Amino acid sequence: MAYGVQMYSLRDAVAADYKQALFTVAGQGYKMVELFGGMNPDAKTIRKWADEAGLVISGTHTGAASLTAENLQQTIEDHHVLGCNLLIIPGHDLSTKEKLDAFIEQMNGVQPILEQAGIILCYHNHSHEFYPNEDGQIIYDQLLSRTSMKLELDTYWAYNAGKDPVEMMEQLKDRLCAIHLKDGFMGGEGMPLGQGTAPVKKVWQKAREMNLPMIVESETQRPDGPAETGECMKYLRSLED
Amino acid sequence: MPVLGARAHDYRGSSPEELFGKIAGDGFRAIQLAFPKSFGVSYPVPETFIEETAAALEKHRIHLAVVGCYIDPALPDRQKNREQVDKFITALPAAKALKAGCVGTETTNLEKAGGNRRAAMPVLIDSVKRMADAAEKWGVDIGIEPVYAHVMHNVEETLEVMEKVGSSRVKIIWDAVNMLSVDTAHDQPGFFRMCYDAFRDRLVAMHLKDFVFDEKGNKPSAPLFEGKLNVEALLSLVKNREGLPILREEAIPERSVREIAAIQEILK
Repeated sequence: MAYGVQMYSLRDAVAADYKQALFTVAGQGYKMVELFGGMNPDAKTIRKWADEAGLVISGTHTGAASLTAENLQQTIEDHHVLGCNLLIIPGHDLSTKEKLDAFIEQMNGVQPILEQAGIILCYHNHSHEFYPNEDGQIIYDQLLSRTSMKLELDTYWAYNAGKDPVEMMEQLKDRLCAIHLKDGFMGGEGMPLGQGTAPVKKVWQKAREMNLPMIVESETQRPDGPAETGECMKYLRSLED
Repeated sequence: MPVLGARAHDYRGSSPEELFGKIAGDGFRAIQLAFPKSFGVSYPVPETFIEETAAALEKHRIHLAVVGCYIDPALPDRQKNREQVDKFITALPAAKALKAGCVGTETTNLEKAGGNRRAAMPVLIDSVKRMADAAEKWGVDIGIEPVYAHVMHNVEETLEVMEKVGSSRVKIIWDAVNMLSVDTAHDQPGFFRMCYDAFRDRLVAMHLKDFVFDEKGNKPSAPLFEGKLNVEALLSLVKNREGLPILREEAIPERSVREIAAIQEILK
């Protein structure tokens, strides 16, 4: 099985030595990486390092600010350089109707442009999208019904919000572009895969059945990011046995 | 007057419609429902099944008083304890969607909790805090049930948990028989009064069942009105509690109609 990792999982290692961090996850057996935090260094350099490490850049976590009129073209070019066709909004302040409406308008506006450039627009959830916002809207339902964005289901945050991620995967079907594999306890306390109470094994089975890209995002950095992503990979391999 | 209900898994039914139909047919107007025990459906309850349950509750005019998710929140093993707490939290969304009175649990048999009540209490309190945090987020009450052989076993400990957790979402399910011991059973009216006075403001539901003592001091169940329980002393305390769910436990369905009539007579 080919797994990906969201590089935020080892953000300290990325800050210290980005190239080395890419080689570390490649050495652990990851085949894909998902980027975060913009292009620093530039897209060309990141692509070069990823190629050298034998990694595919499967997606980027890119904030909505990168999709404004003045930034959109650069964002598209960066994704072309990266060889990456998945642009994932990692989260956004959608706490009121006004903010949600503005966000949806922006996404519906840029999506056709991105599509034309061969880039798929996605949204990555946390838990708050499943609770009513200040104006009583369930953000996730709104995004589902009022946009045609694809969804990167973060299975832990969905679980943390009381949802059954496996049931959600079955319901969302083709709206899903990938899933985040993550573990933890209720209340937002993350853990390496296999050490929390999220239904990771069932999610893994369902993702395999649905042929969905599985991206590990494990955020505790305990004792450090590389050790944690290594532990996660060991767990994933144990599921394959 | 309180509302009389039943523990759903004392009845048999393959669907919410069938099960609630039987319970309502006997005259109960509330239930305690443990989805895994009644339907083999684990938490979190799938949305389609919540909808099916909601429709059946509405059709048979039954109030879901307690969603049963009885866990062990005072296990000494941290990982196992967190698994239990998280399991409990996954029951909250269904309770919210079904407008349940609370999600209920006991507090772990003392032996399973390591045998030392004072050592187990901080573990329990930490667990209930986590449960309460989630309950506040969901806007759902949780009901904790003291049991004589468990970690939280008397009035003082129950109040200690309430005070230290400090959440208005934490309520008490009072099973009077579960709190009785050989020492307190001889003065049931006095013991029940003491419990009720302490629990009154936090009471979210009551359980009702009968018992006898065996030679070891255990309390095997007995048909209602045929055991040692002073039913009248217990029920007279709550006869004016409008809407309080009194949930029959260990009911024998064939006897329910007669039992309900006798209970209502006492509650008049």
